[in-house]
Amino acid sequence: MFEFRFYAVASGRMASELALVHDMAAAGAPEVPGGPPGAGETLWHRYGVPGPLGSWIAHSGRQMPGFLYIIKWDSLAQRDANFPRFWTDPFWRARRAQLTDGMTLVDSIETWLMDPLPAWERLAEPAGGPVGGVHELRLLPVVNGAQAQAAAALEQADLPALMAQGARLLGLWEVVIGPNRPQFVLMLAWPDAATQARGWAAADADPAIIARREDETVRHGRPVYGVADSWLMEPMAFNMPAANLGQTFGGAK
Amino acid sequence: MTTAPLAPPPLAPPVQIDDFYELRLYQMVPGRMPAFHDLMQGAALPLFARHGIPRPLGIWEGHTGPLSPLYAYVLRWRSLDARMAAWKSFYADPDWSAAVAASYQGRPRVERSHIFILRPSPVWDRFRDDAPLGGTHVLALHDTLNNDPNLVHQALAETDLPFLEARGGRVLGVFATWFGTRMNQAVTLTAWEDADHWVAASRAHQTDPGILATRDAERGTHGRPLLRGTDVHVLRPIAYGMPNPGLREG
Repeated sequence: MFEFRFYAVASGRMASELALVHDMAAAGAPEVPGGPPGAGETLWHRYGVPGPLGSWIAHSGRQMPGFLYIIKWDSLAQRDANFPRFWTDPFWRARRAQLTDGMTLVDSIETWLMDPLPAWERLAEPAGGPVGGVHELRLLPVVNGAQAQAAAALEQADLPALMAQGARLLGLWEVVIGPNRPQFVLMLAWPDAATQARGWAAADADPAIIARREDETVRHGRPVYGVADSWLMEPMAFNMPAANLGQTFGGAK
Repeated sequence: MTTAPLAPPPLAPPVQIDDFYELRLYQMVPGRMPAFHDLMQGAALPLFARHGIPRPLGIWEGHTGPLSPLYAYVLRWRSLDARMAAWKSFYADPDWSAAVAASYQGRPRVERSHIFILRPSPVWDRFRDDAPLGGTHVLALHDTLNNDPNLVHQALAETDLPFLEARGGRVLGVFATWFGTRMNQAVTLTAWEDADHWVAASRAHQTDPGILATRDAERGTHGRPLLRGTDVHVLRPIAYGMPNPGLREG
């Protein structure tokens, strides 16, 4: 189960938020609460919280400034036994107090649970190292009842066209617990923002994709995707995501 | 002489989290709700039992609020992993697919669904009783101060909910959001003798000098009121899913 967390960071607090997340999930935990970083495990590891698959700040999208990350859990029992416990941790509280002086750091945290779509595995790249560039998160509302057609369209038409324009697939899910379902979540990596802009313009004018949308309109009364919410994101150097967000899909790839 | 072993770093105490309420909000296609009741009562509820999905604690429909027309119900779970497995098994049942196809006839009845996992608020127990419920129920999802969510639940328990109770409201449930939306938001479900009683109480709550003074004091302390931007759904409980007081099971 993948947990997607969207932080609406309080205005002017992004630097503090990044420092806090870095110190909890990437740096060695200090010896004493409020102390300097240590050389060993992270504070999250002390609580059995897996390292996030990636951490990003958003440059476009709603509720800016935004900070996002994804954690993959073996089970929700594992998640609820470990993650909430961390939120009363004395080290975390001390570091947060140092960074915020008691003021609000985050206005709200949205948290969704998602299952991977099978097309992700079929389109996955060979395992690989950190993926840089500009990352893109697209929230795709799907016409209810057309989930299978929407997944097929993505796999057969939209994603191949975007990949031909330079996109790499980082992840593809369906929202299980969250708003606005049925909804797919797509994450892409682009070499840079200019390529991303050219890529979508080209896909939008692609005759094969236009024909697909017209066919969907005949069948479903409208294209199988509604209006997308798109976030342009920058991966954080302290937690760069690997190809496929590190998923090995049973070791087959 | 031996060296004393280094003391392990202090860790937060273990937690036990095993009580969840699944709130399912179905935004209906206009005009497609009436026969959806037949699908839920005739096909879904019997199949729930087959796949280990508990009987809903309450089922409602609503025509006033941000998602109307709305079909809503609440399920209680002890394990979210069991919840995931039960729904996966339910959706894979060919009897369910056949019932949906027969009901929809190629035209969906549900436009969007919004599925949230809630946990019981620590203050809910203060409001449980057994008096019979009226016919107008109000679901409110409050935008609450994220910095210290417990303050909001205290404010609800000490100020807002007693104010509404004094004007005829009954508290069916008080929750905190856990998954699916902004976490740590407060959710309240209240019951009223009829819609007019609720409207009068709502007006009083929005204009009462004591409540306004409380909100102003919160602005002074926290920079904003603890509660703001509440989404309100007005609901009617459905005969085949009538909730018990306090959303009691059984």
